[in-house]
Amino acid sequence: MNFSEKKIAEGISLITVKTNQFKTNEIAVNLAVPLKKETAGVNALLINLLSRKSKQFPSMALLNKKLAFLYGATVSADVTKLGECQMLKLGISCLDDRFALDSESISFECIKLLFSLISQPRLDENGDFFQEDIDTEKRILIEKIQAENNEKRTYVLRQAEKLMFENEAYSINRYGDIEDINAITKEQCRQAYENLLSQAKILVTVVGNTDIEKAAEYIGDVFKNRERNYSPLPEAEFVPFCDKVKEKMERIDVKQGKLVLGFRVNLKPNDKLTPAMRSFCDIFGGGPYSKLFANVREKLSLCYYCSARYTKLKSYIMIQSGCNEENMDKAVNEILNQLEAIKSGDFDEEFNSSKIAINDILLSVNDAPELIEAWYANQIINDEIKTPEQSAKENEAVTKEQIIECAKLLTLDTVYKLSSPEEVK
Amino acid sequence: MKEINSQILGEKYYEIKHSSGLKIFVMPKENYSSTYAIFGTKYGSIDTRFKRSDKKEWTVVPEGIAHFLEHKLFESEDLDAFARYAKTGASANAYTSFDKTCYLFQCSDNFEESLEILLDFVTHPYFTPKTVEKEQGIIGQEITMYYDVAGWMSTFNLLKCLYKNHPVRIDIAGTVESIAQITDKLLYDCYDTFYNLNNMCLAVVGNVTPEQVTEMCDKMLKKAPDLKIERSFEEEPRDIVKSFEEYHLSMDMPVFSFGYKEECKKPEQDLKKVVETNILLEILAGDTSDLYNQLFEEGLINASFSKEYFTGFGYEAVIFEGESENPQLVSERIKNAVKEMKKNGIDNEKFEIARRSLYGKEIMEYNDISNIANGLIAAEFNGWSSLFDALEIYKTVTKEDIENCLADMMDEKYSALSVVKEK
Repeated sequence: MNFSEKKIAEGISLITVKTNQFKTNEIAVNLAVPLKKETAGVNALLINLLSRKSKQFPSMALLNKKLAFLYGATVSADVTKLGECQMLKLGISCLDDRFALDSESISFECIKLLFSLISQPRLDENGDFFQEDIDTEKRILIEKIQAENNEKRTYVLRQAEKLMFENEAYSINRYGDIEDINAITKEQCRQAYENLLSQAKILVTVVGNTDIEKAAEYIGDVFKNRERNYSPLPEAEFVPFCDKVKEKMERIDVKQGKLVLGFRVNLKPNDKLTPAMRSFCDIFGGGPYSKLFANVREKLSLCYYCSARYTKLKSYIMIQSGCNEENMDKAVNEILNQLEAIKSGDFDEEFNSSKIAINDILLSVNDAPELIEAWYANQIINDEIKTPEQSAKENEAVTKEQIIECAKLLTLDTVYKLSSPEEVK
Repeated sequence: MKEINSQILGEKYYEIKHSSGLKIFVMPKENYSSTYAIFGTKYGSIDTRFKRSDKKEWTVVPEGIAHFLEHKLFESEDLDAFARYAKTGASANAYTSFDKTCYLFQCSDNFEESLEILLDFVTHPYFTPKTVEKEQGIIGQEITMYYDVAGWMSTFNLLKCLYKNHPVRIDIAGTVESIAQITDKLLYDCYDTFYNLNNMCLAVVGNVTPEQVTEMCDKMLKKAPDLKIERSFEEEPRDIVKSFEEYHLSMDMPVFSFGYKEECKKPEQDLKKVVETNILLEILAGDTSDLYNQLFEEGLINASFSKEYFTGFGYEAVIFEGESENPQLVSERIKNAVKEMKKNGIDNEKFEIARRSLYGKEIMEYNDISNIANGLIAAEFNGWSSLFDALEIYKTVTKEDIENCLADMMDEKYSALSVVKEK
């Protein structure tokens, strides 16, 4: 597996991973911009619109037909939150050329197709996006937000984030909010499209067996004559700790309660201690060997699930659990007890397990093209790109003392509870 | 040891009938650093009525017992399986479906130790009345959790509309009432029947050799007594139970499942029928079809729309699922599209495009070691001769095959719609 990184223009780089291990090639364009209330919705809308049709393929049916003909290639659009940045991805996944029945080049066709979707959208005679296309995407985006709310695990997590990060950019939904989406105009779309191509930090990833040189040359040409007005992305607002715990109980019609705890983590994203924080979080509430799984779930049966997740770029840890109302206070206490246990150094066995488990997961990244792609894309806002092997080495070097130090950097910020209305019970 | 090759893929795997009775599949994958192993029994939630070849009478057990057994097997008298895996670094899991129960792990180091754990805990059950009682509480919680999951409720309500007697209509985990009847004795009865190695299969894919696997099996597995298992269900009528069901949850966007119950002429479907039906559904409702594109443009469906040929022992259905503000209208449009296709036949270009697309997608499945291993197990339990056969069928199938397939399927008399939405 041959990794290489190349700068194409100011704020645009190309990462290629050449390998014949897979049956597919994965090519993606990732665009990162600051997460803002006024642009989150229109950006998310645009990336979906670009994935659906283009000047060359003016209807979804025509584009899908072309993709089917290219042996079931798939175009996908995705929106994620990276710290206080919004990352928009437009990618294509296609069969490698060696499987083509008529020895055509599937992958180069797909690369050209992907970039034509981005640089030649379907526009009217005034250079605007069509109102009908914008309206379709408004509906799709709003339905996505609603579908997320259908899933109560995600719903309660989003609610907890809104409360915890109330006055911070991080509270903005990655898809924007429904009201703003409904109000999006043609002019906003055009402006947002131009801004994305001129201002976003762009990372193109190519994973597979395709002719990397040829791909790199083509991608370089696409961006060569584009006017760029790039400025580095802002760092997320850093809130090192919390003075007063925020608590909320929300009551809606659910059969099983949910409990979310948010902790501030006094550690900046570029700190040397972040690999230790990842280990700490894994020991606390990662795998089945973790403190929360073994005690809160298995031993005390307080929750059906209970796990912790560290978000390095925004310096916080969230704990999610499925928990009935009568057990919620007990569960909160027990979660805090387990944090104290780690502070006191009681985690040797969990540490051993976590160390090999994290290593195992990092080294498995190289066995799936979509994981490789995501691994590098998620580093788009970092100055320095790490390979999974480098991260595994950092994991190896984490010490017990560092974990204890990390445990002391947490303060509880938010407790969010979801349960059924009292009259139902 | 038999070697099975695919020229198209440039892949091969080994099929081994082990002296213990276990069927083993090993597919070494060059350049992969991790290995995925899965140990499964042909025993799922639908196996609530069975007869062993060494006994005269039929045994009937409570619903949800296969899933309950899966949970319990992770326990032993001392260290549970998760605690043991924690020492090797493997990520382990298990699942129960309608027709199988599988235990699996993935690792990039300490493969042999992890395989030893897998083979050991699955072949050494340990239940007591006390541990059974504790599990009833935990699984009760799990069952309750799914009552809040809209997609799950929608699917199972559809199956309840379509099936009167077949246990496919029951939640895989059973109900709080049915699992209350489970005892340690019943668990041992089911275990002794279905966890006989002759009814099981092991598939390992990735950074591995067949010798590594057979040596560990030689060490860990004893010869299992010869046993045959007969399955039987109460007779399932051709008619459906009812054509509509609605369930309410606190939610913003309605979800639906619409399905046709098919006439199950034989208990298990062959691979050709599965491939043909997949092509048929791709032409009818895939993302190049008129139906899909019109529904999408009109705002009736979004990208969550899916179609599935849903089949297993004694059941066969075609199911469409998605999110929509107007599920009734979507189901009417599907019915019309089916009728039109039956009347007008299948367009040749559409057939070729669907076939080409699915052929490519089938090859793409071989990127993923977990897909391959799960595919090997499914192929074995379904009685298909080789995992690679699907690719050959895609190459040789004709438009007429698909038209014949369509002629017997999707009769709207046997269709039903299930909707989950806000009250």
